[in-house]
Amino acid sequence: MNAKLKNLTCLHILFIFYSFVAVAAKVASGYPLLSYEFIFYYGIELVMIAVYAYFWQIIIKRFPLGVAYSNKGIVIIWTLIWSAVFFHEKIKFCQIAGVLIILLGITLVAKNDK
Amino acid sequence: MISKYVFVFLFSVFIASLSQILLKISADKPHKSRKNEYLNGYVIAAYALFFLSTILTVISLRGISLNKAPVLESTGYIYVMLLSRIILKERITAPMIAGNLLIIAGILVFNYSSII
Repeated sequence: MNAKLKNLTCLHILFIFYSFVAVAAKVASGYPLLSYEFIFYYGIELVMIAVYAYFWQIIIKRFPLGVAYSNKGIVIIWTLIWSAVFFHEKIKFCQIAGVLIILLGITLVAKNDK
Repeated sequence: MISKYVFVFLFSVFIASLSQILLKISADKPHKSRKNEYLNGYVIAAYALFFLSTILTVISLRGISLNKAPVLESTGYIYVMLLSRIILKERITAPMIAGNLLIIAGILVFNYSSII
């Protein structure tokens, strides 16, 4: 596996992890502010963000920020999947079409990174 | 009428974008140790902004369904691209602009039924 592909793989594994932050936030939002449940799920969210931030600082050394951040578009796709799996939100045709366009955009940015 | 929660979320995204710039500034600087990589002014400021952003995101999600959040979060691509050009002096190429526009377009299409 060449260095660029390895770096991209690491970047995307990190983004899969990051996609679960929104899940924790959504669960927390369902409870009253500062309730025990809110604090618990918000705490999980903060821990996940801390772990993500630790590895993000390592991975952005390997990319221009604009390139690394553009690849983050993949999180939308994972959030869509988790919204269906955990919150039973329905997946619509326009979302599938949007996913394909997002993937095209990410590919364009990633290939442009020399 | 646009919900106040939308504006809260947009501000949250801008703050998060600014924190990315601070992290990149820190990442590009040489550090004496791994400890200094994570405990310096830029990183501490970035984390403070992250913390504020998370609070604002959770508050805004009271009034926004999770599947709408990515639409608003897509403004981050614009913020980061502009801020990275202005502050980090990163080169913005035509394919990069096209790629980011496609990502944003994809997000708009993705959320078409929510937008109309």
